[in-house]
Amino acid sequence: MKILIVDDSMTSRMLFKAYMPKDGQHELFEATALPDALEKMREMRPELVVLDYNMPEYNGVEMAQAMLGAGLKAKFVLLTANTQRTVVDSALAVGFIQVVEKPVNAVKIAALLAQVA
Amino acid sequence: MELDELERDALRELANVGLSRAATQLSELLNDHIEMTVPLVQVVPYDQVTQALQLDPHAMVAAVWQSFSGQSEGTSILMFPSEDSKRLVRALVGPSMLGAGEDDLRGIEHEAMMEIGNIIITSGMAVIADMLGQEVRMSLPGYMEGNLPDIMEQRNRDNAGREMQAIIMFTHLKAAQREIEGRMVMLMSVDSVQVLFDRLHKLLRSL
Repeated sequence: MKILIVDDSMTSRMLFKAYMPKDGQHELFEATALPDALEKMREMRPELVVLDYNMPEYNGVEMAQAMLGAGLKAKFVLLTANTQRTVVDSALAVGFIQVVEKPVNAVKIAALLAQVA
Repeated sequence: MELDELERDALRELANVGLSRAATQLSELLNDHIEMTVPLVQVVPYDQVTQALQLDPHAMVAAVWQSFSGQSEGTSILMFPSEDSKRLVRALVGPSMLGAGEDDLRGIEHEAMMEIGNIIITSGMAVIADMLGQEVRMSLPGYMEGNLPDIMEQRNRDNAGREMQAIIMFTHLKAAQREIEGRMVMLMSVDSVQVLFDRLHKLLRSL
């Protein structure tokens, strides 16, 4: 599966990558901000887009809205430690399939990949 | 202590995850949408901390502090400009203040600020410790108001003769349709900072 992770933090992207199963089944692409993410989506056509919530210019939910607005479709997952009701509801309203709580670990990522497979 | 770009990014990510968790807990307590972000983290020697905090040294600051111990020891101090934080607390706990006299009002404000500060500091510290594989024990919170140099001097009083450093997290808090800029400072001995950074390097090496 092609996966795009969008997070301004290099450490967060590294953590996600480190906990991905090393089974050759997945291809991971990275983006740090909206323009880069839109470009990667057009080029790579990922099936799954994992977005951080807390980013400098647009939050993850706003980015997904922009992607959908540009006609780019994928399964969206929000990655955040801010799992309060208003944040989760705003993600679900846009069509996110899941909210994964930071910090990630191997168990959370395995459960996510099993769900979207 | 010099940090490279990845180390600064890692420290900022730990702080952001910690304070986002705090925002979740605060939102449950206050029944309001809360956002907390950490756009910048700095590490400075104690003698540069007042200047590095970029707050008016004469302005009144409200501070909640808690000592912590474990593999790393020190004091975490959360600071907001006094008037901003009072306005925020009034907006958040306003209904419980109805009918209170001036003294009671001040008491309720202090209690509320200490509770909010306690949640932010404890959640933040717990996540940082967990992600670094450390154990942290927190003291009960204390509250004080004063100007920045007084607050820092009081909290550093027990550290005479020790070389101290401060990890400064510039925080942005959004709640009750208000936005306020604050600072969370981890005041630690150089040795304790080194222990924390050794853990950070271990985490980064494992990725």
